[in-house]
Amino acid sequence: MTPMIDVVFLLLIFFVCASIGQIPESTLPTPLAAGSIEAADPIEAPKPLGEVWIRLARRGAGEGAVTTAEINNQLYEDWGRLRGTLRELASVAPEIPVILDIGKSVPVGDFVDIFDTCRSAGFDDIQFATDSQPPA
Amino acid sequence: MKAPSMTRSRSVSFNVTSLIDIVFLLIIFFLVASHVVRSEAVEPVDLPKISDPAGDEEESALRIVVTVMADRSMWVGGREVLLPQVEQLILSASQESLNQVEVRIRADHAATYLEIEPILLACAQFGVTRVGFAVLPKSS
Repeated sequence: MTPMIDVVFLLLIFFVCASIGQIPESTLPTPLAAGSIEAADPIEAPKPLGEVWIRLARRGAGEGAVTTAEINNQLYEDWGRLRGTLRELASVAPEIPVILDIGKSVPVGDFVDIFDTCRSAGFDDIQFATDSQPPA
Repeated sequence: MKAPSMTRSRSVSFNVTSLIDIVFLLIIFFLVASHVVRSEAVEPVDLPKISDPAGDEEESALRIVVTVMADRSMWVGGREVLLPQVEQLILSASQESLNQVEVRIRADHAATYLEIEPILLACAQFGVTRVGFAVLPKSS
């Protein structure tokens, strides 16, 4: 039995060591509205006070390009301030729908960051804006 | 008459060493095989990092993992695919069992929304509501 136990322990140590270096991936849940996009009616009674439009755009070119954010047409260059504003908004009225209008060239890292900020701030309804699709 | 106080019985024992050997070999085989399969199916991408990732939800039976690389290429199940093929996959999965379909987007943090938007649109159009982005926890 002794050599077998040796081998089993060696294998156990191998798998433990192999799994240490791996960072487990998590999932950021992004529930979407079902059905036809054009038919989706996101606003139901009682009607919320308004909407929060967050527009993300990419300005500049090459290495110097930065992602800018606007909340209801007000430009936020400091993302720390943007996060603070979103948290304050969510603490006052989490039922307000947040609509993310993301520019085509915005990197995934930036819009996932903003989406996560909205989610962790406590907004109930976060939507992605899209251009109207031509009928099929 | 003197009755025998002890009956000498022959003990019957199984030699289970070879059985244990085989069982352990099978366990090791499946461990190694699952490890290799899992690591081969995952294309290396630099995932976006967020501060408080939620725990993994329960896995659904029909999970489509779309990997979007930084060079805008898309991969599903270890094969490079184009957007129409991804849409077709989502459509056929939704026709098979709509409630169990889950689309997981593993996008590189440098990929752009240009590649992600059509996937989200396809999910919404075909009625798939369970969508998620693969993320890593931000190290503080």
